Amino acid sequence: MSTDVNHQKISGLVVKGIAFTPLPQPLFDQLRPIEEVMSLLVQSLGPQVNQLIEQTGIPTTEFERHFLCSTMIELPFTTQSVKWPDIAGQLKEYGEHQPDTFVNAYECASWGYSLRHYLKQAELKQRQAKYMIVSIIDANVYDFEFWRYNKHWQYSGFGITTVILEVESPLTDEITIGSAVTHNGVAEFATVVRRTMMKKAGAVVALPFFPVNVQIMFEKLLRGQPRLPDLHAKHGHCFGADPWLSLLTHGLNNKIEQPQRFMACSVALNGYYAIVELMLTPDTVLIMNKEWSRG
Amino acid sequence: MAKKLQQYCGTLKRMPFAHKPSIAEAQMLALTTDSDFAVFANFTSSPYPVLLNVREHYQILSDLVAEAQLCWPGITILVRLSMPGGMRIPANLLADNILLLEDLASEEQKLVTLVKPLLVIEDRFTRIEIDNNDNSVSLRLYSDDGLPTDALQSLIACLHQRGVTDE
Repeated sequence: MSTDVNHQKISGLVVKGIAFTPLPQPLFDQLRPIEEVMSLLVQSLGPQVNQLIEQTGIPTTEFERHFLCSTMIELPFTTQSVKWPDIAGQLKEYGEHQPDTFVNAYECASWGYSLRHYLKQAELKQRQAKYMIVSIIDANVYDFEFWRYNKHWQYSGFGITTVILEVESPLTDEITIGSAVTHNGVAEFATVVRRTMMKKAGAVVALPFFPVNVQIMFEKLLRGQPRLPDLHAKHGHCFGADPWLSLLTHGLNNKIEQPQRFMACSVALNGYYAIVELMLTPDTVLIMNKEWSRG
Repeated sequence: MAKKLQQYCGTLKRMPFAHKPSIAEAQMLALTTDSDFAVFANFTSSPYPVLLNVREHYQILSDLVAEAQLCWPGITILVRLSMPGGMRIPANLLADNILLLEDLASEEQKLVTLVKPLLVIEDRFTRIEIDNNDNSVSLRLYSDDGLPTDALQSLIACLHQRGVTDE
């Protein structure tokens, strides 16, 4: 599959770093108390964030906001078995730049909606956003069968992801956030990707990972558009992490010798989507950690 | 300059759309294995009645936001809302001046000194027993400008019509 890019056009958004830590399935041999599970996940996320920031060389004081997003970690909070302020407090032990806001309402597109919110607030304050950082966590903390495998996307993959973006120049149309209006949200998303790409000639699309039947639909609707390989067979559907895992894998397998332009895309089961045009550069820090040790 | 604040606290006391039929929607995770059921059985349950389903919950939030957008165009709005939805969130709740999030405290604390005006909608309506909610709802409106004492009146009226009584 072609991944050639048109180097003459640039995006104002540059990826400064991506880190991914795969989580095992099941997380533990036996279910553990949820407070303990969440604390153990904090102990993986906090150091991952610090490792990525350190390698980018960006001072931690540069990060005004840090959102933690998820698709499927909701039941601990919904049942009030765990309270977000407690988790945020534990994260703060790793620094003030750790995530302090938790967003999962937009499911796999939560990272895009969070970035949109951050940019909008910067605009209201009449100041230019510089660095943006978002982390994504999806872990089958109760080991539910639905989250292991279901008819919608078959096998799931779990992990912790952190992404650092820099706004290098004022953004124009780099970020497309929206929601499907029809019942076939994924197909409608594909048509939006196609239309967006027609305005972004040369960008390579990084799509969410889906089973073969959905891949065939993408193939039909996006024929002729350059895109990174679908990694569902290797990783399963990793929710909002998919495009970042795709970019990370591409960057590790192909030496990035000059800036390359991509479209990171996520879509939720309920049709919310995020499509963001951005650049990988030779300086982008790419970290693929070993699978999380259960401890 | 100190922010002006108007706030309201109420409790949902009856079904919000009393004279309309309500779809019996399960809206919960598909449980299949013994372990799945055991996990659910171990969740504690709220003693408060379930008076609405997810669709009706979204409808109330959508109505409040529509009213707020009319009263204060472009206002920044924070709404306590998380997965699981089980159905698509109404389009007007997905607008770019709204953020839906799990816990409002941190975001509210940050924005209150930076953004004006700011509306916070925080409900704990019980949609399923295991959510341990208490059917409370609160509204907070922050502004640099002087706020009339009835600034929230149209939103409060919206809540009253839907079965919310004052605390």
